[in-house]
Amino acid sequence: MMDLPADSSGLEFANNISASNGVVGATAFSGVARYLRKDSKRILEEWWVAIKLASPSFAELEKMRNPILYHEQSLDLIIKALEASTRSEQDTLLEQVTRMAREMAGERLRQGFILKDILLSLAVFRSAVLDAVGRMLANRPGTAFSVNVLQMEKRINEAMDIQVAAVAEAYVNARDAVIRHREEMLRFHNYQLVKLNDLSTQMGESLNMITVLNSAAEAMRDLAEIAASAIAIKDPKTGELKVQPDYGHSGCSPAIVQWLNSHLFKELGETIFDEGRPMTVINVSDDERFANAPAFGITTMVCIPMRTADKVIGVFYGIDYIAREFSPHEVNLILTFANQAALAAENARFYTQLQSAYEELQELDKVKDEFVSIASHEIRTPLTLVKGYSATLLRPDLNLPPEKRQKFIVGIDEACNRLINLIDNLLSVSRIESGRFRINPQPVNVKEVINHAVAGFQGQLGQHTLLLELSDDETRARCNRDQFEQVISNLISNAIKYSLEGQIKIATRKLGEGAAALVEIRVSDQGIGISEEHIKRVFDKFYRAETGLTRKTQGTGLGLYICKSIVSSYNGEIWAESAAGEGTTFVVTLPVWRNEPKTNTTAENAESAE
Amino acid sequence: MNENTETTVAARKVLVIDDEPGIVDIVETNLLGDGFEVVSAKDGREGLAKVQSEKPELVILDVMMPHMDGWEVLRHMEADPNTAGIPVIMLTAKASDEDYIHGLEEGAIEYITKPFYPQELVNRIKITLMVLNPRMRDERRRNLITKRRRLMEE
Repeated sequence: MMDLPADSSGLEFANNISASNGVVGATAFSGVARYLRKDSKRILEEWWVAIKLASPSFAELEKMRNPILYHEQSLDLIIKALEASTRSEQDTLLEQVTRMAREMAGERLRQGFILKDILLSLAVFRSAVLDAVGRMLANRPGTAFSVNVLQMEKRINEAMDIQVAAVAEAYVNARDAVIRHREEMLRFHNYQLVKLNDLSTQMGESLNMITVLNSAAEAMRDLAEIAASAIAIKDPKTGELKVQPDYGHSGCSPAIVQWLNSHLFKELGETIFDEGRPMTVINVSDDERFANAPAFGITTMVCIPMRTADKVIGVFYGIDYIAREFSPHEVNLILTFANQAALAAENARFYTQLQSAYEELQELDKVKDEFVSIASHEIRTPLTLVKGYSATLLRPDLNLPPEKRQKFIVGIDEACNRLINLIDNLLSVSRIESGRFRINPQPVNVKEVINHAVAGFQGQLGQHTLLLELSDDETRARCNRDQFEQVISNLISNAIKYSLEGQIKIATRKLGEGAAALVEIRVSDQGIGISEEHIKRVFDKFYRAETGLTRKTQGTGLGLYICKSIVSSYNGEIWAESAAGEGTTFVVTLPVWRNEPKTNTTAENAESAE
Repeated sequence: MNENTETTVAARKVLVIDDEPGIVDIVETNLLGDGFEVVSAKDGREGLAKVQSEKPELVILDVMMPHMDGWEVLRHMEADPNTAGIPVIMLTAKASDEDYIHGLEEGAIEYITKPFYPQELVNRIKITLMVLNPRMRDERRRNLITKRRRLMEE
C-alpha cells in the first residue's frame, strides 16, 4: 500500500554514518526526512486511527478543530529536526520548535483540550512516526543501520520531547494565566457584589419612595458606570409608566427626563415592561427607533426591567454619552440590582400605603372621638334644659306663678325641638353616608316652610333679631318639604351660633323664568364672617370654623354638610358669601317646581324606594 | 314663699354665670324659692366683673361661654385675694374625669355636670355655705379629687 520513496535517501543516509562520529551530520537524516515527508499522509492517518481508539472524546474535539493541521505542523518540526545539520542550526531549530510547540499547545489549551489528551495524542503520534521509520528500514534489508537507527530515533524522540515539554510548559503558563484571569474576575465580581450589597442595603434602609428611588438611580449609575440613570415606575392606578420630574433619576437634565417620558419611551418602556427582558442600544444613531428623536448627545442606552417576585413594576434607563457595550455579566449585575430596587420601591409603596391607611384610621378615630364628645355635649345642653325646667316645675315647695310655669313649659318644648333637630341631622348624615338618602321631590311652598322653621327658633334667639324678607308670590321650589325645612333650620341655627348678636335676615326671590327659573334663599348674619381659608371647607363633614366664640352650642359640624347634600340632590346650589368681620350670607338656589312628566317622577320614586 | 322666712339674717347672694338664658332661669327660680338672692351674668367677662362688683357669697360657674370661659374666670378669682375666698361651684356640660379634676384643682369646691337636679344643686350650695373654714374646704376638695382619681384607676 505504501510505496518507497523513489529517491535513494536510504543510501545517502547510510553513506553518512561514518562521518557522524557521535555528532550526527546534517545530511545524515535528510533521507529519512524526505521519506517521512512523503509518508506523512499515512503517518497522520495511523495517528488518527490510533487516537480515535485511545481517546474518543479527544477525537471528537479534534474533529472540530482541524486536527490534521496540528500534527502536520508537528511532523514538520520532526522533519526539520532531522534536516538540521550543524549544532547552531539545531539550536536555532530547537528555539523554533519550542516556540511553535508552545504556541500550538497554548492554542489547543485555549480550545479546551486537556493536558492528558494532548500528551496522549503526542505519544500516539510519536509511535506513528517511529512506525514509519520502521517501515522505511524494513524496506532496506541488508543495509546495516544499527547505530544510525538509534541516533535517528534519538533525534526524533528529541523533537517529540521538545514538543511534549513545550506543551507542558505552555500548559502551565496557560493554566497560570487562566487562574490569574479567574482570580481577577473573582475579585472584580466580588467587588461588584459587595458594591451591589452595599447599594442594596443603603437603598433598603429607607421606606420613603423618594429616597429609595433617588438612591437607586444614583447606585445604578455608580454600579453600571454610566453617565446618567432614571427610573420609570408604573403608576398602579393610571397604568402610566413615568419618570418623576423631581426624583428617581441621577445625572439627567429636565429635558432628558422629559424625553424619557415622551411617546418614544412610552412604547419602548411598555415593550420592556411586557416582555421583562433588558435591552441595550450601543449606539442610538444606528438604531432606527431613535431616528427622529433628539439625542442630547446620548450614545448608549440600556433599558432594564425592574421586577419583583411576581411582576414588573418599572423600567430602569441607563444613559451614556460614549458608545459602550455591556457584557452579559454587567447586564446581569444591573438586572440583579434593578430587581433589588424594584423590591425596595415596592416595599416603600406598601409602607406608604400602610402608613397613610393607618394615618387615615387614626384621623378617623380622632374625628369619631371628637364627634362623640361634641354630640354628647350637643345633647347635654337641651337635655339639661328639659330636666331643669321639669324638675323645677315638679318641686312641691315652689309656688311658681302661672306665667313662669308657662315659660318653663315652652322652654321644655323648644329644648325638645333642638334635640329633634339634632337627631334629624344625625339620621340624615347616617343616610347620606350609607347611600340611603332618599330624594322625594315635591312642590315646596318656600314662604310657608321658612315661617314654620323660624317659629321653632323664637326661644333660642337671645341677643338676635330675625328679619324676614320673603317674596310674596307663592313660588314652589322643587325639593322635599321636610328636607327643605332641615336646610333652613340648619342655616338659622348656624347664623345664631356664629354671631353673638345682631340681625339674622332671611330673604327669598325668584330668579329667571321658564325651565331655568330658580328660587333663591339668602340667610345672612352680622357675625364675624368666615375667612377665605375656611369658606371653602365649611361644607365639609365635621368641619367647624374656629371662631374664638366658645359657646356651648358649638354644633356638630354636620349642619352645612347636610344642607349641601340635600340641596345638591335636588339640583340646587349652596354657597357662602363672606368677608371676615362683615357677616356671612349663605345662599341657596333650587329649581322652581314645574309639573314634571309622570315617568320622571316615577323613576325617581322608584330609585328612592327601599 | 317669702324670701325672708328662710334666714333671719340678710339673704345670701349667689352669682350665676351661664350663657344659656334657660339655665340661668332654672337656677335662679330654684334659688329664689329657697330664699337666696340671685344675680346673673351671660358670659365670663361680665361674670368676673360682677364677682367684683356684687361680692356674692358663692358663684355658680359654667365653662364654655363666649368672651371668657369658666376656667379663666376661676383663675382670675383665685389669683385675686379679694375673691379667692369665694366658693365656686362648677355647673357644666364638660363631664370628663380630666375636666372634673381640673376644675377642683383650679379652686372650685364642687363640680356638677349637666344635666343636673335643681334640688341637688340647692342642697350643695347650702352645704358649701355651711363650711366656713377655708382649711376644711380645701380638705374636702382634696378628698373629692382623690376619690375621682381612684375611680379613674379602677
